[in-house]
Amino acid sequence: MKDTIKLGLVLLLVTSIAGGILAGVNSITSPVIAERQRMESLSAILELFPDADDSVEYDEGQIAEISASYPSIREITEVISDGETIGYAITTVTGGYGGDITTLVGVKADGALAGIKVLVMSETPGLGARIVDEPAFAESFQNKGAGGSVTPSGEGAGEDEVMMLSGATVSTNAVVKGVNEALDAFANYLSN
Amino acid sequence: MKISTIFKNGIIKENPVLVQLIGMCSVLAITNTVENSLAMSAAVIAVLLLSNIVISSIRKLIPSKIRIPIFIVIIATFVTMVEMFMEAYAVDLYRSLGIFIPLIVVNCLILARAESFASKNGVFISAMDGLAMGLGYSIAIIALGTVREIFGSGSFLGMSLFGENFQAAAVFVSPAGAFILLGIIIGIFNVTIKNKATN
Repeated sequence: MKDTIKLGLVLLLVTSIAGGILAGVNSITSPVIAERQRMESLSAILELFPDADDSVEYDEGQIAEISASYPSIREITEVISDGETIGYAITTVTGGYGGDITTLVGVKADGALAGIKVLVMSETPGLGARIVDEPAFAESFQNKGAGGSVTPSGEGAGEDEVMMLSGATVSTNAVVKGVNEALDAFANYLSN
Repeated sequence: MKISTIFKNGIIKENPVLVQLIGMCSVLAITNTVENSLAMSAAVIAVLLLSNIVISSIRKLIPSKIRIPIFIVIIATFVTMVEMFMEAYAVDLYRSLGIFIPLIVVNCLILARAESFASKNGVFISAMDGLAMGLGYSIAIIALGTVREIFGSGSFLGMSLFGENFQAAAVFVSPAGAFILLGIIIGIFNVTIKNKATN
Protein backbone atom coordinates (compact mmCIF):
# COMPACT_ATOMS: atom_id res chain seq x y z
CA MET A 1 0.00 0.00 0.00
CA LYS A 2 2.69 2.43 1.07
CA ASP A 3 4.68 1.43 -1.98
CA THR A 4 1.76 2.09 -4.29
CA ILE A 5 1.30 5.59 -2.90
CA LYS A 6 4.99 6.30 -3.32
CA LEU A 7 4.91 5.16 -6.96
CA GLY A 8 1.85 7.31 -7.56
CA LEU A 9 3.59 10.33 -6.09
CA VAL A 10 6.71 9.79 -8.22
CA LEU A 11 4.56 9.59 -11.34
CA LEU A 12 2.64 12.68 -10.23
CA LEU A 13 5.93 14.55 -9.81
CA VAL A 14 7.21 13.53 -13.23
CA THR A 15 3.97 14.45 -15.00
CA SER A 16 3.78 17.79 -13.13
CA ILE A 17 7.30 18.72 -14.24
CA ALA A 18 6.48 17.67 -17.80
CA GLY A 19 3.24 19.70 -17.71
CA GLY A 20 5.07 22.73 -16.35
CA ILE A 21 7.72 22.60 -19.08
CA LEU A 22 5.07 22.23 -21.79
CA ALA A 23 3.09 25.15 -20.37
CA GLY A 24 6.26 27.23 -20.58
CA VAL A 25 6.97 26.26 -24.19
CA ASN A 26 3.31 26.79 -25.09
CA SER A 27 3.38 30.33 -23.72
CA ILE A 28 6.26 31.07 -26.11
CA THR A 29 4.84 29.39 -29.21
CA SER A 30 1.08 29.98 -28.91
CA PRO A 31 1.18 33.77 -29.55
CA VAL A 32 3.32 33.13 -32.66
CA ILE A 33 0.89 30.47 -33.86
CA ALA A 34 -2.20 32.60 -33.09
CA GLU A 35 -0.77 35.62 -34.89
CA ARG A 36 0.06 33.55 -37.96
CA GLN A 37 -3.41 31.99 -38.02
CA ARG A 38 -5.01 35.45 -37.77
CA MET A 39 -2.96 36.71 -40.74
CA GLU A 40 -3.88 33.58 -42.70
CA SER A 41 -7.59 33.93 -42.01
CA LEU A 42 -7.49 37.61 -43.08
CA SER A 43 -5.81 36.76 -46.35
CA ALA A 44 -8.18 33.82 -46.75
CA ILE A 45 -11.17 36.18 -46.46
CA LEU A 46 -9.70 38.22 -49.31
CA GLU A 47 -9.32 35.05 -51.37
CA LEU A 48 -13.00 34.21 -50.92
CA PHE A 49 -14.22 37.79 -51.34
CA PRO A 50 -11.77 39.60 -53.63
CA ASP A 51 -13.95 42.74 -53.62
CA ALA A 52 -13.92 43.11 -49.83
CA ASP A 53 -12.70 46.45 -48.55
CA ASP A 54 -13.87 46.29 -44.95
CA SER A 55 -14.89 43.70 -42.38
CA VAL A 56 -16.61 43.60 -39.01
CA GLU A 57 -15.90 40.78 -36.59
CA TYR A 58 -18.72 39.54 -34.39
CA ASP A 59 -17.95 39.76 -30.69
CA GLU A 60 -17.94 36.79 -28.31
CA GLY A 61 -21.46 37.40 -27.03
CA GLN A 62 -22.95 37.26 -30.52
CA ILE A 63 -20.90 34.18 -31.39
CA ALA A 64 -21.98 32.44 -28.17
CA GLU A 65 -25.63 33.01 -29.05
CA ILE A 66 -25.21 31.50 -32.52
CA SER A 67 -22.89 28.67 -31.52
CA ALA A 68 -25.45 27.53 -28.93
CA SER A 69 -27.43 26.17 -31.91
CA TYR A 70 -24.45 25.63 -34.24
CA PRO A 71 -21.57 24.31 -32.11
CA SER A 72 -19.07 24.18 -35.00
CA ILE A 73 -19.09 27.94 -35.48
CA ARG A 74 -16.23 29.80 -33.83
CA GLU A 75 -15.90 33.13 -35.61
CA ILE A 76 -18.06 35.23 -37.88
CA THR A 77 -16.82 38.15 -39.92
CA GLU A 78 -19.16 40.34 -41.88
CA VAL A 79 -17.55 41.20 -45.21
CA ILE A 80 -18.28 44.64 -46.62
CA SER A 81 -17.66 46.21 -49.99
CA ASP A 82 -18.61 49.83 -50.82
CA GLY A 83 -20.60 50.09 -47.59
CA GLU A 84 -22.77 47.07 -48.38
CA THR A 85 -22.64 43.63 -46.80
CA ILE A 86 -21.55 41.25 -49.54
CA GLY A 87 -21.36 38.16 -47.35
CA TYR A 88 -20.05 36.50 -44.24
CA ALA A 89 -16.82 34.61 -43.56
CA ILE A 90 -17.64 31.96 -40.99
CA THR A 91 -14.93 29.93 -39.27
CA THR A 92 -16.05 26.43 -38.32
CA VAL A 93 -14.23 23.71 -36.42
CA THR A 94 -15.31 20.10 -36.96
CA GLY A 95 -13.80 16.75 -36.00
CA GLY A 96 -11.87 15.10 -38.83
CA TYR A 97 -9.96 11.85 -38.95
CA GLY A 98 -6.71 13.15 -37.49
CA GLY A 99 -8.05 15.91 -35.24
CA ASP A 100 -10.00 19.10 -35.68
CA ILE A 101 -10.43 20.70 -39.09
CA THR A 102 -10.81 24.47 -39.20
CA THR A 103 -12.61 25.68 -42.30
CA LEU A 104 -13.35 29.20 -43.39
CA VAL A 105 -16.74 29.26 -45.11
CA GLY A 106 -17.63 32.25 -47.27
CA VAL A 107 -21.39 32.74 -47.60
CA LYS A 108 -22.53 35.38 -50.06
CA ALA A 109 -25.41 37.72 -49.27
CA ASP A 110 -27.65 35.71 -51.61
CA GLY A 111 -27.08 32.54 -49.56
CA ALA A 112 -24.76 30.68 -51.97
CA LEU A 113 -21.17 29.88 -51.06
CA ALA A 114 -18.46 32.28 -52.19
CA GLY A 115 -16.08 29.41 -51.51
CA ILE A 116 -14.34 27.59 -48.69
CA LYS A 117 -10.80 27.36 -47.44
CA VAL A 118 -9.47 24.77 -45.00
CA LEU A 119 -7.21 26.70 -42.63
CA VAL A 120 -5.98 24.10 -40.16
CA MET A 121 -6.05 20.31 -40.39
CA SER A 122 -3.93 17.30 -39.55
CA GLU A 123 -5.46 14.68 -41.83
CA THR A 124 -3.54 11.75 -43.32
CA PRO A 125 -1.13 12.88 -46.04
CA GLY A 126 -2.25 11.60 -49.44
CA LEU A 127 -5.77 10.77 -48.23
CA GLY A 128 -7.63 13.20 -45.99
CA ALA A 129 -5.05 15.93 -46.59
CA ARG A 130 -6.41 16.21 -50.11
CA ILE A 131 -9.08 18.55 -48.67
CA VAL A 132 -6.21 21.06 -48.91
CA ASP A 133 -3.92 19.52 -51.53
CA GLU A 134 -6.58 19.11 -54.20
CA PRO A 135 -7.73 22.57 -55.27
CA ALA A 136 -10.70 21.00 -57.09
CA PHE A 137 -12.19 20.00 -53.72
CA ALA A 138 -12.53 23.55 -52.42
CA GLU A 139 -13.50 24.79 -55.89
CA SER A 140 -16.41 22.35 -55.99
CA PHE A 141 -18.08 24.38 -53.18
CA GLN A 142 -18.13 27.64 -55.12
CA ASN A 143 -21.62 29.03 -55.79
CA LYS A 144 -23.25 25.91 -54.33
CA GLY A 145 -25.53 25.81 -51.31
CA ALA A 146 -28.15 28.33 -52.43
CA GLY A 147 -30.73 25.67 -51.50
CA GLY A 148 -29.60 25.77 -47.85
CA SER A 149 -27.15 22.87 -47.73
CA VAL A 150 -24.62 20.91 -49.78
CA THR A 151 -24.22 17.14 -50.19
CA PRO A 152 -20.97 15.35 -51.07
CA SER A 153 -21.41 13.20 -54.14
CA GLY A 154 -18.99 12.01 -56.83
CA GLU A 155 -17.30 14.86 -58.62
CA GLY A 156 -19.79 17.31 -57.15
CA ALA A 157 -21.20 18.36 -60.50
CA GLY A 158 -24.88 18.47 -59.60
CA GLU A 159 -26.80 21.29 -57.99
CA ASP A 160 -25.72 21.82 -54.38
CA GLU A 161 -23.40 18.82 -54.67
CA VAL A 162 -19.74 19.02 -53.74
CA MET A 163 -16.82 16.69 -54.48
CA MET A 164 -16.60 13.47 -52.44
CA LEU A 165 -12.95 12.55 -51.99
CA SER A 166 -12.70 8.78 -52.24
CA GLY A 167 -10.67 7.30 -49.39
CA ALA A 168 -11.31 10.42 -47.34
CA THR A 169 -14.96 10.12 -46.36
CA VAL A 170 -14.44 11.26 -42.78
CA SER A 171 -12.45 14.34 -43.83
CA THR A 172 -14.93 15.26 -46.57
CA ASN A 173 -17.89 14.88 -44.23
CA ALA A 174 -16.19 16.97 -41.55
CA VAL A 175 -15.72 19.88 -43.96
CA VAL A 176 -19.27 19.49 -45.30
CA LYS A 177 -20.69 19.46 -41.76
CA GLY A 178 -19.02 22.79 -40.99
CA VAL A 179 -20.19 24.25 -44.29
CA ASN A 180 -23.78 23.19 -43.71
CA GLU A 181 -23.83 24.61 -40.19
CA ALA A 182 -22.52 27.89 -41.58
CA LEU A 183 -25.25 27.88 -44.26
CA ASP A 184 -27.92 27.15 -41.61
CA ALA A 185 -26.63 29.88 -39.34
CA PHE A 186 -26.66 32.30 -42.25
CA ALA A 187 -30.25 31.42 -43.15
CA ASN A 188 -31.57 31.59 -39.59
CA TYR A 189 -29.54 34.39 -38.00
CA LEU A 190 -27.40 36.40 -40.34
CA SER A 191 -29.58 37.01 -43.39
CA ASN A 192 -32.24 38.87 -41.38
CA MET B 1 31.68 0.60 -24.54
CA LYS B 2 33.55 2.30 -27.34
CA ILE B 3 31.89 5.16 -29.14
CA SER B 4 32.83 3.71 -32.53
CA THR B 5 30.99 0.48 -31.60
CA ILE B 6 27.90 2.48 -30.66
CA PHE B 7 27.87 4.26 -34.00
CA LYS B 8 28.53 1.05 -35.91
CA ASN B 9 25.60 -0.55 -34.06
CA GLY B 10 23.24 2.32 -34.65
CA ILE B 11 24.02 2.82 -38.33
CA ILE B 12 24.83 -0.70 -39.54
CA LYS B 13 24.53 -3.70 -37.25
CA GLU B 14 21.33 -2.66 -35.47
CA ASN B 15 20.01 -0.06 -37.90
CA PRO B 16 16.51 0.67 -36.56
CA VAL B 17 14.83 0.72 -39.98
CA LEU B 18 16.88 -1.72 -42.05
CA VAL B 19 17.73 -4.35 -39.43
CA GLN B 20 15.39 -3.99 -36.45
CA LEU B 21 12.45 -2.98 -38.67
CA ILE B 22 10.85 -0.81 -36.00
CA GLY B 23 8.82 2.36 -36.37
CA MET B 24 7.69 1.27 -39.84
CA CYS B 25 4.37 3.16 -39.85
CA SER B 26 5.84 6.62 -40.11
CA VAL B 27 8.74 5.40 -42.28
CA LEU B 28 6.35 4.17 -44.96
CA ALA B 29 4.08 7.17 -44.70
CA ILE B 30 6.39 10.16 -44.71
CA THR B 31 9.25 9.11 -47.00
CA ASN B 32 7.41 10.24 -50.14
CA THR B 33 9.74 13.23 -50.52
CA VAL B 34 13.31 13.99 -49.48
CA GLU B 35 12.17 17.13 -47.68
CA ASN B 36 9.71 15.19 -45.49
CA SER B 37 12.40 12.60 -44.76
CA LEU B 38 14.85 15.31 -43.68
CA ALA B 39 12.29 16.97 -41.44
CA MET B 40 11.27 13.66 -39.86
CA SER B 41 14.94 12.78 -39.35
CA ALA B 42 15.57 16.06 -37.53
CA ALA B 43 12.51 15.58 -35.33
CA VAL B 44 13.38 11.97 -34.46
CA ILE B 45 17.06 12.76 -33.75
CA ALA B 46 16.05 15.66 -31.49
CA VAL B 47 13.55 13.56 -29.53
CA LEU B 48 15.83 10.52 -29.31
CA LEU B 49 18.84 12.54 -28.16
CA LEU B 50 16.93 14.57 -25.55
CA SER B 51 14.93 11.65 -24.16
CA ASN B 52 18.06 9.47 -23.92
CA ILE B 53 19.92 12.24 -22.07
CA VAL B 54 17.10 12.91 -19.60
CA ILE B 55 16.27 9.25 -18.99
CA SER B 56 19.88 8.24 -18.43
CA SER B 57 20.47 11.16 -16.06
CA ILE B 58 17.52 10.26 -13.83
CA ARG B 59 17.76 6.48 -14.32
CA LYS B 60 18.71 5.82 -10.68
CA LEU B 61 15.73 7.80 -9.37
CA ILE B 62 13.11 6.02 -11.47
CA PRO B 63 11.33 3.18 -9.62
CA SER B 64 11.57 0.19 -11.95
CA LYS B 65 7.87 -0.71 -11.57
CA ILE B 66 6.70 2.50 -13.22
CA ARG B 67 9.63 3.10 -15.54
CA ILE B 68 7.64 2.61 -18.74
CA PRO B 69 4.99 5.26 -17.96
CA ILE B 70 7.75 7.64 -16.90
CA PHE B 71 9.67 7.02 -20.14
CA ILE B 72 6.53 7.66 -22.16
CA VAL B 73 5.80 10.90 -20.30
CA ILE B 74 9.34 12.14 -20.94
CA ILE B 75 9.22 11.14 -24.63
CA ALA B 76 5.76 12.66 -25.07
CA THR B 77 6.96 15.91 -23.50
CA PHE B 78 9.81 16.25 -25.98
CA VAL B 79 7.62 15.28 -28.94
CA THR B 80 5.03 17.88 -27.94
CA MET B 81 7.76 20.50 -27.61
CA VAL B 82 9.08 19.65 -31.09
CA GLU B 83 5.54 19.81 -32.43
CA MET B 84 4.83 23.20 -30.88
CA PHE B 85 8.10 24.70 -32.13
CA MET B 86 7.47 23.32 -35.60
CA GLU B 87 3.96 24.74 -35.71
CA ALA B 88 5.28 28.14 -34.64
CA TYR B 89 8.43 28.42 -36.73
CA ALA B 90 8.27 25.82 -39.54
CA VAL B 91 4.64 25.71 -40.60
CA ASP B 92 5.16 24.13 -44.02
CA LEU B 93 7.01 21.17 -42.54
CA TYR B 94 4.46 20.95 -39.74
CA ARG B 95 1.71 20.70 -42.37
CA SER B 96 3.44 18.16 -44.57
CA LEU B 97 4.26 15.82 -41.67
CA GLY B 98 0.84 16.30 -40.09
CA ILE B 99 -0.22 13.53 -37.74
CA PHE B 100 3.18 11.80 -37.89
CA ILE B 101 4.86 14.30 -35.57
CA PRO B 102 2.70 13.45 -32.53
CA LEU B 103 3.00 9.78 -33.53
CA ILE B 104 6.76 9.93 -32.81
CA VAL B 105 5.64 9.30 -29.21
CA VAL B 106 4.62 5.77 -30.09
CA ASN B 107 7.61 5.13 -32.33
CA CYS B 108 9.01 2.05 -30.66
CA LEU B 109 12.54 3.04 -31.67
CA ILE B 110 12.57 5.75 -29.00
CA LEU B 111 11.02 3.69 -26.22
CA ALA B 112 13.30 0.78 -27.14
CA ARG B 113 16.44 2.92 -26.74
CA ALA B 114 15.14 4.29 -23.44
CA GLU B 115 14.40 0.82 -22.08
CA SER B 116 17.36 -1.12 -23.43
CA PHE B 117 20.10 1.51 -23.37
CA ALA B 118 19.50 4.84 -21.64
CA SER B 119 18.08 3.26 -18.48
CA LYS B 120 21.25 1.22 -18.03
CA ASN B 121 24.06 3.54 -19.18
CA GLY B 122 25.62 6.89 -18.39
CA VAL B 123 24.52 10.22 -19.80
CA PHE B 124 27.27 10.76 -22.37
CA ILE B 125 27.21 7.27 -23.77
CA SER B 126 23.38 7.35 -23.94
CA ALA B 127 23.51 10.63 -25.83
CA MET B 128 25.90 9.02 -28.31
CA ASP B 129 23.55 6.06 -28.63
CA GLY B 130 20.63 8.38 -29.33
CA LEU B 131 22.65 10.17 -31.99
CA ALA B 132 23.85 6.91 -33.57
CA MET B 133 20.38 5.34 -33.70
CA GLY B 134 18.95 8.63 -34.96
CA LEU B 135 21.56 8.73 -37.73
CA GLY B 136 20.85 5.14 -38.69
CA TYR B 137 17.14 5.99 -38.90
CA SER B 138 17.86 9.14 -40.90
CA ILE B 139 20.16 7.48 -43.43
CA ALA B 140 17.56 4.80 -44.10
CA ILE B 141 14.58 7.13 -44.51
CA ILE B 142 16.54 9.68 -46.57
CA ALA B 143 17.59 6.86 -48.91
CA LEU B 144 13.94 5.77 -49.18
CA GLY B 145 12.78 9.35 -49.67
CA THR B 146 15.36 10.00 -52.38
CA VAL B 147 14.42 6.97 -54.47
CA ARG B 148 10.68 7.50 -53.94
CA GLU B 149 10.82 11.16 -54.91
CA ILE B 150 13.00 10.56 -57.99
CA PHE B 151 10.87 7.72 -59.37
CA GLY B 152 7.49 8.78 -58.01
CA SER B 153 7.58 12.50 -58.69
CA GLY B 154 10.61 12.91 -60.99
CA SER B 155 12.15 15.46 -58.67
CA PHE B 156 14.74 15.82 -55.92
CA LEU B 157 14.08 18.18 -53.00
CA GLY B 158 11.25 19.64 -55.09
CA MET B 159 13.46 20.41 -58.12
CA SER B 160 12.24 18.76 -61.29
CA LEU B 161 14.88 16.45 -62.76
CA PHE B 162 13.66 15.07 -66.04
CA GLY B 163 11.52 17.74 -67.65
CA GLU B 164 7.88 17.44 -68.59
CA ASN B 165 7.96 14.22 -70.59
CA PHE B 166 8.89 12.12 -67.56
CA GLN B 167 6.30 9.48 -66.77
CA ALA B 168 6.27 9.18 -62.98
CA ALA B 169 5.68 5.78 -61.38
CA ALA B 170 2.86 6.73 -59.05
CA VAL B 171 3.21 3.53 -57.01
CA PHE B 172 6.34 4.94 -55.38
CA VAL B 173 4.35 7.81 -53.90
CA SER B 174 1.99 5.45 -52.09
CA PRO B 175 2.94 3.46 -48.97
CA ALA B 176 2.63 0.25 -51.02
CA GLY B 177 5.55 1.39 -53.20
CA ALA B 178 7.44 2.29 -50.06
CA PHE B 179 7.01 -1.27 -48.83
CA ILE B 180 8.37 -2.78 -52.04
CA LEU B 181 11.27 -0.35 -52.11
CA LEU B 182 12.05 -0.91 -48.43
CA GLY B 183 12.37 -4.64 -49.13
CA ILE B 184 14.75 -4.00 -52.01
CA ILE B 185 16.85 -1.59 -49.97
CA ILE B 186 17.05 -4.03 -47.05
CA GLY B 187 18.16 -6.75 -49.48
CA ILE B 188 20.90 -4.59 -50.99
CA PHE B 189 21.94 -3.42 -47.52
CA ASN B 190 22.18 -7.02 -46.27
CA VAL B 191 24.33 -8.40 -49.10
CA THR B 192 26.65 -5.42 -49.26
CA ILE B 193 27.25 -3.32 -46.18
CA LYS B 194 25.86 -5.41 -43.34
CA ASN B 195 27.39 -8.77 -44.18
CA LYS B 196 30.80 -7.21 -44.73
CA ALA B 197 30.56 -5.35 -41.44
CA THR B 198 29.53 -8.41 -39.41
CA ASN B 199 32.04 -10.83 -40.87
